[in-house]
Amino acid sequence: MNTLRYFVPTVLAALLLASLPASAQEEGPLPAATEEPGVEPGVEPGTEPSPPVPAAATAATGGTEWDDEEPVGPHSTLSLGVGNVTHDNQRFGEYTGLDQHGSVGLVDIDLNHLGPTTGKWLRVRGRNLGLDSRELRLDHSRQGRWGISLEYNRIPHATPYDINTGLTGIGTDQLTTAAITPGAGARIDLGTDREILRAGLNADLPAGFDVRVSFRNEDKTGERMFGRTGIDFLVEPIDSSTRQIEAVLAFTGDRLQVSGGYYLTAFENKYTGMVVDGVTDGPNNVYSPIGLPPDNQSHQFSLSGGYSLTAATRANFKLAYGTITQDDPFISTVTVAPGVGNNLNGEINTTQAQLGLTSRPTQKLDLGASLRYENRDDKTPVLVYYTGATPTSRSNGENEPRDVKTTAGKAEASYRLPGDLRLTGGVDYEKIERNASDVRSVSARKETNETTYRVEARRSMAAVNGGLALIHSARGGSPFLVNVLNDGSPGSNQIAPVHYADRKRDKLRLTFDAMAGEALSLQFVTDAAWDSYESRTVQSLGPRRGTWQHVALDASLSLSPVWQLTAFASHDRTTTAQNSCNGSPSDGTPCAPVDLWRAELTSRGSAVGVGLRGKPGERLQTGADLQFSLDAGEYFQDGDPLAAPVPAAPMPRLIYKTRTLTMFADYALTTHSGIGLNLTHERRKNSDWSWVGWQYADGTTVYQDPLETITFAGARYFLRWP
Amino acid sequence: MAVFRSRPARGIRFYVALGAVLAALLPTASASVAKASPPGDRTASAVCLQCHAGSEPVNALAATPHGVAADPRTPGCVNCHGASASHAASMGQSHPDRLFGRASASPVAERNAACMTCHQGGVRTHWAGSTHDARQVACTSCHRIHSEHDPVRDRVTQSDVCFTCHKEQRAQMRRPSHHPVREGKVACSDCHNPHGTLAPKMLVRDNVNHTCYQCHMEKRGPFVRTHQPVQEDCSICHNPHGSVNANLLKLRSPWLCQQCHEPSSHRGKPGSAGLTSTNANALARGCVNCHTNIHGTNNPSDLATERSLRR
Repeated sequence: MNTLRYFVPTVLAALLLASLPASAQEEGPLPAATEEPGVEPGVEPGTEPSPPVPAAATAATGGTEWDDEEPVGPHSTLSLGVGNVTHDNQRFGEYTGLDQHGSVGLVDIDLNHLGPTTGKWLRVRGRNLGLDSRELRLDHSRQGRWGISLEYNRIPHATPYDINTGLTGIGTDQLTTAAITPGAGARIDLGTDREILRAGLNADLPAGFDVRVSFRNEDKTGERMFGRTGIDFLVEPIDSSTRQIEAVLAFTGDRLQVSGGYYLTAFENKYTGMVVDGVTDGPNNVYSPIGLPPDNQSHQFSLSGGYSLTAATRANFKLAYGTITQDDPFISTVTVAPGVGNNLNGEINTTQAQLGLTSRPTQKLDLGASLRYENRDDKTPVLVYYTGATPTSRSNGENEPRDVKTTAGKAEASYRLPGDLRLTGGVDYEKIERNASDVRSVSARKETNETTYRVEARRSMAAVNGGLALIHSARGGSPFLVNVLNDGSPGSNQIAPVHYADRKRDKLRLTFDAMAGEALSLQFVTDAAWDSYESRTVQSLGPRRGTWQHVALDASLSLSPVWQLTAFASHDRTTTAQNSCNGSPSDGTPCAPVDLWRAELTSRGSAVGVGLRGKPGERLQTGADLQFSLDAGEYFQDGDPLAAPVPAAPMPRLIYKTRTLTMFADYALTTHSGIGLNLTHERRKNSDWSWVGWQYADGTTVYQDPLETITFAGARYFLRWP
Repeated sequence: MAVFRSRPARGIRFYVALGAVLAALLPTASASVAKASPPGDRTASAVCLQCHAGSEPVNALAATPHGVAADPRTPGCVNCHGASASHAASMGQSHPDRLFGRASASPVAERNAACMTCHQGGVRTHWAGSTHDARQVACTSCHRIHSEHDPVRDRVTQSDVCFTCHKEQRAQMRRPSHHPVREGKVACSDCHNPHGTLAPKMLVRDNVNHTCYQCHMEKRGPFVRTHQPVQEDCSICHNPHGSVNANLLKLRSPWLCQQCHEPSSHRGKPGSAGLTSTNANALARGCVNCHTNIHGTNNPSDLATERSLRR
């Protein structure tokens, strides 16, 4: 297969080259057949308008002005080359198909043709055609009339770990575990491929109407890491398809634009469940089979549009109704509770209504307001799926359909003061209502609501711009429901979940950018946010506070008419603080103080980079970028000295460092051809302890390379025409 | 030792298809030497060409949709830049009525109105009132008009345009766990419509989950056993722009899970790297080592373990 991988592109390249000289060198007029007005192939003579080159314009330019440096139509390029990756790697080629060492074909095409007399475009764009991440798109259109498109896109994803396991049956839904001495199994590389096919059609219809139809099919194949209680290493087989079809009929008038749409989606999975047998299956056979994602589908109808009430006032709206259904047959080999059929008969109906109004009553004042309503009504039948619930169970055995109703409103005013200063103030409101089952294990709240106030001052001048925004929001809601066990007695009621908890949030954003003459521009941005959470108990368990800071500085400097320098630096830090209890009683009794512990979890990111671009000669363009980044996770814990197996204590930092150098040079051999060189040198280092020393019950181990140094070098020959 | 390669080689099918497409298209493509008509050949704009004809900014239009003379909707210079009588009369000593560069004195709303004269409707129907509109973002802040290549319409270069303002997202995209935006396989516009929608965050679908389902429909369900935050909002647990934690998680487990789950039983244990499997709640896949169907399961078994998303 590797032979084909290089042979076929080579043959194609040869075919293309053979066909190109005529087009690449020809600069004369079009052949008569296509130059003749309205007689482009496939078009009936007389049905096309004559090329609209008004006599006035021709006369004004004397008919010769364009001759000195005539505008030409769109350019086309073809690039052929070969590249080499120095080492197998886990991260460098995670999404590009460059995860293995060796040579690859570098094939890119960008063909563009515009019919001057008909306004017909033909575009063919192919990227990475020699790689697993290849994509190819075709667009053909007659501007203002119709268009069609066809696209193929492949997205590979290589799981960035090396796995050593005795598991067999990988890639199927019949797995067998086998105990091995760690490291003595087979090494496997996992990953997925998404192969996406898109097609589109649009056409302008009379009287301001147009229609757009799009189709998207995605086949996803491969395997991903999975597991089960035990703890066994498993691999989920992936062989599924996702399809989306959207059709829109739209009207565009001077004041009214409206569109009606239908949107269909469907997910199909080859596998319903996964059976696991093997050496570790004895005590764990309760965890086989394991369910896999079921087929499901949706239909949505929508009506959306905008209407300009006056020149300064506009309303927009959207109404939509959709339904998601899921009736994929259950795994047939499991015992189900009485009354449970052979599928879920799941159904979720979603109704949406949205309305917005904007107005600019004066040149200085802008007003806007909007309302949004969305009701996700889960109509899935409620049945007892588990008959073994005891009085102290945290479930009554029923499934739990989820309703979510969102109502949101927004109002904003912006006024332009003298001195190019603009003041903006706004209020946002959002209410989310949810259902909850009678017996629960997680705290629930039937309503949360959040009000946000925003003020912003911004000054925009020709050379200097700056802005300051302050945002404050407060979230509250209905009382938390009391978690009860199956017999109605209180369960644990100590955590206010992070998306339900009362919260106060303050945010700040400061921006500044300036141009110092023509040569230098600077851009500075800093953001910060502070969250404070209320707890359900005096012991303050659950999320407590969060902070976030981010700062970035960018600069661009023209060193000369030939060379330009860019640079950036950024740093961000996100911290979450929360409290918990080790071994809290499940009957609602407060946590013993000795069992309390806290955690402060921090994510840091820093990056700096510098880039240089230049055109030191008529034929040469070159550039280079050097970037460093450091991303870290920090896990501080303390408290609960009696916690088993170890007291709550800080865990090691987790660090990822990346250093990347990229260089390129394009040299024009002739007006229509040239050669290009690309070099990427990347060094990735990490101290990620996620898999260090870890082994599954069957002896499976997972290895993440702590250091990878990769160099990719490529050389290309390219043609450009006309 | 056997080496298992999971991804099948599918190259041959693709290249056969590619060859067929190119073979069909090459004769047509070779006609791309055709010279387009000068752009903006409208009567009122003819005067502009007396000075500007042949200049690069104008010539470049010939390779863009704004240079398609065969399209009767194609604007002339004055459609965008205004009649600019004084500019013409002064032979360029004064500016045209409307400029679009950074130093333009024309209000952003006026500049955008010139674009919306023709581009109203479609994906721009909800531009008015959108965040970008309200923040005075000009169409030309993102789009290059006098250029054959508009970087924001190219999925490989698009994110660089967005990152001009969205620095936080630029930083997050550098994290080890990220969508392949840097790699050019996912574009910002796959999830966001920068021209405005009525959905939060200018998402292309009606809410966060419906946007994610475009590519992650296996998470949609509905399932026999559901996980509430999964059904409400994917972004409760995930940061779609990047994370130092695997799978774009905002936090690692167990701390992420402890933000919602009651601490009774094993759920309240501190994070640990103890190497026995039951204690290593921060190693490997953390809580998901066991609760492997964390997004929901359709397994109908009459067993308690199904409800805890373990099978």
